[in-house]
Amino acid sequence: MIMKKILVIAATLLASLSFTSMQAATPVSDVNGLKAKMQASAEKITSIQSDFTLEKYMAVMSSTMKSSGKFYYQKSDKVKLEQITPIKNDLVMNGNKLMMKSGFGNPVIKDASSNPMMAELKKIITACMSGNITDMGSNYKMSYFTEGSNYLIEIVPLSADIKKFAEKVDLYLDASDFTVVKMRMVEAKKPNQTKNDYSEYTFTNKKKNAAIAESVFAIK
Amino acid sequence: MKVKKAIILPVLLAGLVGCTPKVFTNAGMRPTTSVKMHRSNLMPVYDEYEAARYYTAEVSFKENHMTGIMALSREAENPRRFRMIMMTPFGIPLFDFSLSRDSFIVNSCMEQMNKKVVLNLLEKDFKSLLMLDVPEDFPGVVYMPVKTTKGKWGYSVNTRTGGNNYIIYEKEVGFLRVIQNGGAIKRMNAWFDEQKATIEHPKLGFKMTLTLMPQEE
Repeated sequence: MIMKKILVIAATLLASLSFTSMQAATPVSDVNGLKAKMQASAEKITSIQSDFTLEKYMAVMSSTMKSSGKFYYQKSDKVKLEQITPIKNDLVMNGNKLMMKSGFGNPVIKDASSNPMMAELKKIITACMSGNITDMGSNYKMSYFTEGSNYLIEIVPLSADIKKFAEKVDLYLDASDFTVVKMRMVEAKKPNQTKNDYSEYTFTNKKKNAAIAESVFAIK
Repeated sequence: MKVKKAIILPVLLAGLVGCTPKVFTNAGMRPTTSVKMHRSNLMPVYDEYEAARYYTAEVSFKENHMTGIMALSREAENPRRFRMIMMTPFGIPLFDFSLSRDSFIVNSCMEQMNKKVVLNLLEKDFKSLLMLDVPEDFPGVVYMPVKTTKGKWGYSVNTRTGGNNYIIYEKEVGFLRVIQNGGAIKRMNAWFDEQKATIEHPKLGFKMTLTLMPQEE
């Protein structure tokens, strides 16, 4: 009898915990007001430094692939992802140039201006990671929600080429300062798969407007 | 009858010695016998894996180099099928293949790689690595070291991708498998153990090294 009571209490507790952790996204009523606040916030930000973790979820794999490192953003078109674990890798976007660098071989340097799709990918990554999505253009359909203490912006590319890489991007912004908390790039569903694969970036320990050495974004 | 056998066996072996592949002569091995073998003799590494494993992938093609992550797992709905997904270190997908003994399914592939000649090459390479090109039972020639009988075995096998030569070296921990493929496609060499695998096409200037990433606790 006592055991039964304990089980009932435990089940009730679990149910209430899972209920509180499920925060439904509700559409933002004043989208223009939100956009104005985002714009004002973006104007005040000159740089961001933070830690990041990347979790790659693949529907057919029994576990997620995890990595982590440092993120740097310098207004208006410099981004660096410095992956530290499990392997060292740098992704630098500086103006029209893009560089991938690992400990293996020479760095791969591309000029995005000669490749429209790469330029668009660079634009969406820079905009989403910096949180400055105000000038992303009309190539994306955006929907705005509140979810707990965050804003969720659902970004759906309209270009078929971009959809090959990301069917949609879910961008979570901290409602208090509009910086990016989480970015989830969802891939198109593959044949015979019921769930989409996605890459989820989480940004923590953010430092705003601190000086970042120009050499961090050097492409060579 | 015994006399007949005594004559035939040395003659057969002498014939085999005459056409011993270089990979065996270089390793100081000679043919000993032609026997019926089982796939397990070749010690396939990946058969034992059930959970997903992640590898760093270093790929060189002539002067071009790239690094990525390769995920390898059995498919839950069809455990006879492997899934290989390669992506950039930042999660952008490059290709996603399903492989079994009888099939090769391209679930997705970046445009630059989505060419028949590239896909054929990768299919043969990955099937060789996973030993999906080897039948369950097959006749093979066994090679043994000339000087010692310990720690090294050689097998010459006809596979679906052409003739493969295998040398298996006993290490302090585990085994190192060496495959040399001399099939219709360009010659392929592969070395692999439980931690690392290298596939190389010297004539094409292609090399891929997969290194097992540390597993999370």
